[in-house]
Amino acid sequence: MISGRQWIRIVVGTILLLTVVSGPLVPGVSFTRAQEETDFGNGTAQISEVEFAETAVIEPLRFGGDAYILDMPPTRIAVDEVSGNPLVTYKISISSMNTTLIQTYQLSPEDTNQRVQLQFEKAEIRSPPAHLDNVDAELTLTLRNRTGKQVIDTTNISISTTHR
Amino acid sequence: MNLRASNNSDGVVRSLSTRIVHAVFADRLGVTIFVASILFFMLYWRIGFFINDNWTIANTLANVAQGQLHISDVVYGTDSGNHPGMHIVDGKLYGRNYGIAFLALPILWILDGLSVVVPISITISALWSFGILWIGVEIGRRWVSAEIARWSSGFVALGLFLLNVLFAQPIDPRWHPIMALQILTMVSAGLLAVFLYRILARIHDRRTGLVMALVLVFGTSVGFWASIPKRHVIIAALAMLSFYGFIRSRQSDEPLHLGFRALSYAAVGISAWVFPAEAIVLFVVLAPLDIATAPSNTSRELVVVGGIFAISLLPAFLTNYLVVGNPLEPPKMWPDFHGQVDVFGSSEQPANAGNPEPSSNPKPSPEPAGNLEPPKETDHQRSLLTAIIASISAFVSKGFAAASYGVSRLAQYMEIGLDVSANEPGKLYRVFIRSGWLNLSGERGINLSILETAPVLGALFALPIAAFTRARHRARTVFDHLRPSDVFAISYSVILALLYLHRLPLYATITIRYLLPVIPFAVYGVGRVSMIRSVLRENIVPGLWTYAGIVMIGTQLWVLWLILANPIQSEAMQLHAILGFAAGGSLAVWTGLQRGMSRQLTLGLGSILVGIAAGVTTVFVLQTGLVYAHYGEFALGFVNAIVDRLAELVVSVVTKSM
Repeated sequence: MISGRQWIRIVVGTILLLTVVSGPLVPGVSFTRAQEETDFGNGTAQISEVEFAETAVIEPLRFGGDAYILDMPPTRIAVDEVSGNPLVTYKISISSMNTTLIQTYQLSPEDTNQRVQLQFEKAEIRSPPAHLDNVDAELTLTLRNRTGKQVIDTTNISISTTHR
Repeated sequence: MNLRASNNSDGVVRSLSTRIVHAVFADRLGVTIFVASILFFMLYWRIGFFINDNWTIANTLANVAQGQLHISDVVYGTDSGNHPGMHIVDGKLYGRNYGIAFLALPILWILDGLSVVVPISITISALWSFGILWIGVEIGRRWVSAEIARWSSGFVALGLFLLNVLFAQPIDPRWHPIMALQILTMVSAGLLAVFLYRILARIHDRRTGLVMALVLVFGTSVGFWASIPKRHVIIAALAMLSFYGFIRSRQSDEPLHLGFRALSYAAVGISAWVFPAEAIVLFVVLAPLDIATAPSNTSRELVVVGGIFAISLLPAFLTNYLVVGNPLEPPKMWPDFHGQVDVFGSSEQPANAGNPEPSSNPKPSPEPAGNLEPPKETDHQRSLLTAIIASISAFVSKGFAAASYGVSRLAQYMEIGLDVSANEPGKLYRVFIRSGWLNLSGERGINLSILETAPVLGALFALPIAAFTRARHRARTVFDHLRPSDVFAISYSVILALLYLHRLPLYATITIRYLLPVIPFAVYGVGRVSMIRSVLRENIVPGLWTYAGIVMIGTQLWVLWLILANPIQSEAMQLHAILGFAAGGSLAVWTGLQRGMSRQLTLGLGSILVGIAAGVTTVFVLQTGLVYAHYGEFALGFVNAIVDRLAELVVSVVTKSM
């Protein structure tokens, strides 16, 4: 029967041993695994179909904020083919509020022949004009890579506003 | 013979290490506080850059490690080196906070050295598990038995180690400089807690010291900044060290009182190497109070103390001299670099411009900056001796102008601070009590007040009440109870606050970080409240259960709320703010309500309220550190694995970097 003290020594010894074994002193053994580096923004994609979000709301923030947030359902794209990791930027321009919001998504080869959901995440936005219950917005999807960019599709929607 | 000799040297080593442990941590409890703090900080340690001026200090260290003060190799950030806090002197780039860079240098060497033998990521997991082992045995042997404690902590430590190894990723050596800085700030924060423990244990008792040190780590904003490579935690630790030296040297029966007196000044000197303006604040508080309250002021003592102080200032002066030729012209006064000239002779845009990467997660570029010319040998690289001699003469000639400029700037800022306090009480309210939605650039709800991020400070409300009640009865007793150390803590806090009030509230300070060095002094103040000490002495258990309940259940409920309510970051931060404000406010009300209740009830309620105040802050620090902040990879593999899954569920709160 080993004592508690001996057990502590065993634990410390095991940890030290494993640490050293995983290191450069013992070639060929490593417990660490590097994550695959994604080549950000380098690659191409074919996108055949875009199903834009049809509605969106601008509503007051919770917890006493005098600011507003933009909340909208996802936009979907049908991706035919992807090589590398090109980016899709999702731009929302609201000219009556003099506001543009942009979010970026990364595509990967696994997205080939998938419908990819682009969720424009809730974002803080300036106050909508008090006299308007709706504001017009232009949504633009752009495919970008290191060498250039190309507009995929664009549409206009009406965003309903809730005032405080 | 041989055996005896080796035994002897073993004994010498052991007694030396015992001495060092005793000198730094005082006792086992001090070590336990330190280990517990580091374990906590490491739990949410992300290896990466929190804000872009972290680049500046990391580049400073990376270049200091290459043996030069100027920055010719922009390892992190944009290639142009155009980052906040960069300076340009004679066409060369210089960083800031050189004291931090030099203090982190030995850590960088250790990391570089270790990485030749062992993988750093696994070593971090190993050290974390050793910490778990220590804490498990220390706590377990008090609660159950030493034998059970050893067996169970052994299993837990080994299990966590294996779990970490399962998810461990290799760490590229290019991250070593930033890691060295983060380790330095974490160690500083841990030592800060140890210093507070030693101070309160000396003035009152070990229990007060222990609990307040833990409150500082787990229940204030210190935890938030612990692994972020900025100056605040380091300045706080140096100020606390100076405070500790001051307290120890007040006792004439203290055999080392002269040494401790010198220590209190040496900490000021090192602060000057880190951030001179804050060192001046410490000095103007320390010097008059020290002379006035020292057991004796013989000329021998003053020479010793002055000599040590002068030596401690040398690194700062030498750095300034080597860069601008004037020892008293600190980095803050060097010309700012805004990319006005192309230092590296390339006409390229910053590397990130035109890069579609949403740059919340800056990655260091593995290649050195483009078109780099080899650094030229210049007259800046002089021999040390010439530099010292020249620096003394320069000290006399140019020094006084710069010194008087510095002091007059401080006085000017304090005047503005007083002006703000008198005429804009709303601003004081925003900084100290309730932040609300400040109209600052960026996200408005994420910058919280002092009370919201350290609600336990609500207990400080007892001090003016006590002073007022005593003053009504007999004016003298107020001052009878005031120790020199209290005057130190109050003056330091007030002067530092006045120095920064003209700039506050400010964006990207999250917890009013400029005033972070005030927090440990304020927690010292909480430890000085007699009712709080009564709570700790007589009825600590309800508080501990409340704290444990809030952290264990509250953290999970919070995550559930994040998933269900899908708040954006500002909303989540404001809910933290409201809870912190409520907890701090309740504690403040409690300090005023004690009269009407039975002592038992008062102490029980106080215990629970302190537990709540510390608990909501631990939840805040864990949520911000683990979930909202979004940069780099966690140092511990299993944290990475858990948070990655979690982040998929609570997307909106993490989409933007803080």
